[in-house]
Amino acid sequence: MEQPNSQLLTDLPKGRSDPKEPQGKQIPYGHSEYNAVMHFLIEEAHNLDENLFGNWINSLSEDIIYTIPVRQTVSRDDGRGFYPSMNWIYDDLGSISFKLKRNMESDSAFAEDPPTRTRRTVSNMRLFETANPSEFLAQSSVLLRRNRGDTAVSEEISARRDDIIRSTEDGMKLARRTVWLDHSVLGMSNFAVFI
Amino acid sequence: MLQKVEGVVLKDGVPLSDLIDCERREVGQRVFSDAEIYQLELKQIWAKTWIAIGHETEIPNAGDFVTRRIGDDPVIMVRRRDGTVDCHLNVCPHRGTVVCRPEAGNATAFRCIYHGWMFNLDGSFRGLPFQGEMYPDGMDKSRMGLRSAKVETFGGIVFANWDENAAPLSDFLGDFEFYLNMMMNKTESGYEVLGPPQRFVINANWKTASEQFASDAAHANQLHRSLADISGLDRNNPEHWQMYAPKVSTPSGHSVICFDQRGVYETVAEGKELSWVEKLSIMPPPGMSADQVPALAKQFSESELEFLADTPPANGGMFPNVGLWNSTGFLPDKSMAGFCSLRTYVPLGMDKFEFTMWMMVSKDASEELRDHVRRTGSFMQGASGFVEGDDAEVWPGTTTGAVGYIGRQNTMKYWPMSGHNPPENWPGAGNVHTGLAMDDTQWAWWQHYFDCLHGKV
Repeated sequence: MEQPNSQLLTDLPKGRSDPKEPQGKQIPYGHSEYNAVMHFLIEEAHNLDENLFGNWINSLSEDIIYTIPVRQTVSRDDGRGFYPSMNWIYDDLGSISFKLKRNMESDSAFAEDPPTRTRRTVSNMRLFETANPSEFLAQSSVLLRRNRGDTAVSEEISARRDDIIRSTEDGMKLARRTVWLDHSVLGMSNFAVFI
Repeated sequence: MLQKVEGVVLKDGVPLSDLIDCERREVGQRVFSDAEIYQLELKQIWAKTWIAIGHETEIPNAGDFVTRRIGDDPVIMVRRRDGTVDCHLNVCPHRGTVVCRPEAGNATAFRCIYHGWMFNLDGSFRGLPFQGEMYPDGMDKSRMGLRSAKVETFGGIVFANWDENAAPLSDFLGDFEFYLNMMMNKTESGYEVLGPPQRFVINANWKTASEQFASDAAHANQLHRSLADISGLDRNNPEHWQMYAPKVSTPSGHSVICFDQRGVYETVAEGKELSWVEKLSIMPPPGMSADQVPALAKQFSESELEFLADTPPANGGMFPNVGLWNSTGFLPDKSMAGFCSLRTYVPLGMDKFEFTMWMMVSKDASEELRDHVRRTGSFMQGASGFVEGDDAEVWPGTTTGAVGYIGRQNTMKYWPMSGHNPPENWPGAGNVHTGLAMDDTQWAWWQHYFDCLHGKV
């Protein structure tokens, strides 16, 4: 398996990998590069919240790997409980495009039709240099609230995201995303939206 | 066949037997919303039937454990020092709190955090603090251990049963064993999970998912019709949706759809007769790659291998709460990988259940195949699966529909029936239904359900 964000992983039992602190030099809050990456993440959340999927796909790199590993509740001594060997989502550009195309072009993509109403709040971004001068590692917190049908109560997911954001001639692109959930059991009946 | 029984009468005077109409083949939708029926299920099904709680490969080493539920009851699935797998009620016999709080890990013993009672891996009482001073006259240790369920495994799937007098697992599997064997025992070393399961909560009664997974082959071209909009499938051609695939039902409520692969081989072979090795090398069984195909001969007879190539048991369920989906999946780049998944529907009260899904591969699978299964599996199945996500839309709807005073008077119809009409030389047991997909398998599920509630099982 291609290990997402391999620079973040520690050695753990088979299938297990927890996030660890980034090694690269930190780029401080308010720095011009920090502002540019934060701007990218804000635009991205807007595109997803407003169902501007074409815009979002254009902001992904062709080699993007998007994963959300499952997580177990484990004792403090046993680490964080993440298992990248099993995922909620494990997509590349082809499968992301396919899913969004289904939502947009079929009138029968019932999990998201009628569409759910989502709001992504992205904050606490920490930015780091990587070994590749054109790539940044952006850690952010995200809170996704999702309201569906005529239910008064919204579903909620919170997570840490580790993104590799690549600076290209065509602007910034999301090249890698690993979503480290704060959940072991998901309170959402499907994962038909991206975080 | 089930006879009408006047035994159980609900508090409002309605006999349970009125909720299943054997002449009309209808089931009262009230079964999805009635708290009294739920309590009856806990007693008559969850406390008496073999319940799948996981896979052996989740706990490979002595002391490895995971926590699960059987009905509403929390349990620990643990591997003992002698290698056997146990299932204990995760409730302290002393003052009743949950003993093991992590979901997974490795333990030499379980210690309750409340007053420190300790238990061995086999559930027996091990000790407690100051026990000499607190119990100077000794203790009845036989009443101080964790309560244990019977455990048996098949194909690595761990089944537990609270009923000390329960018939063995092989009786429970019955005619289904032939098909489950073909799904789970394809290689000498067996299958293993890729990791812990996806777990998510759906606001629906557990039976909505389970009765659908009792081989409802008539929903695919409707509920999953978006596939036709984005792929080459024809919404109006039943053959594109496995609607003519043979289906098997058993009196225990287990069932499976045997996907008909012959059309694929005919297209590929262009008229040439293919052997089972050639066929299965084109489309390797779920969790296996083409190089593993010849070794299938070690596991199955020649006629079974022909069967596995032409009409493999693919998509089905086991009563009360298991879903099995073993079939070839695809990615948008047209690459294929067979995924092998196990799911359980665990009730969390009347109107919620946890969907738990494991992905599996053969133990000998290459890293490349594992990665492919990982991608294909999550792409099509489970919470983010573009197929299964739509299923999770109808289950809450069925539950909502059962709540209202009028809605719960609705009956669900299981009218069209094929009967037992197996193809020639069908090697397996059970009732085999051919022709266009009808309701035999789901009706068999409901019949067994009502037999259980009536205490006839």
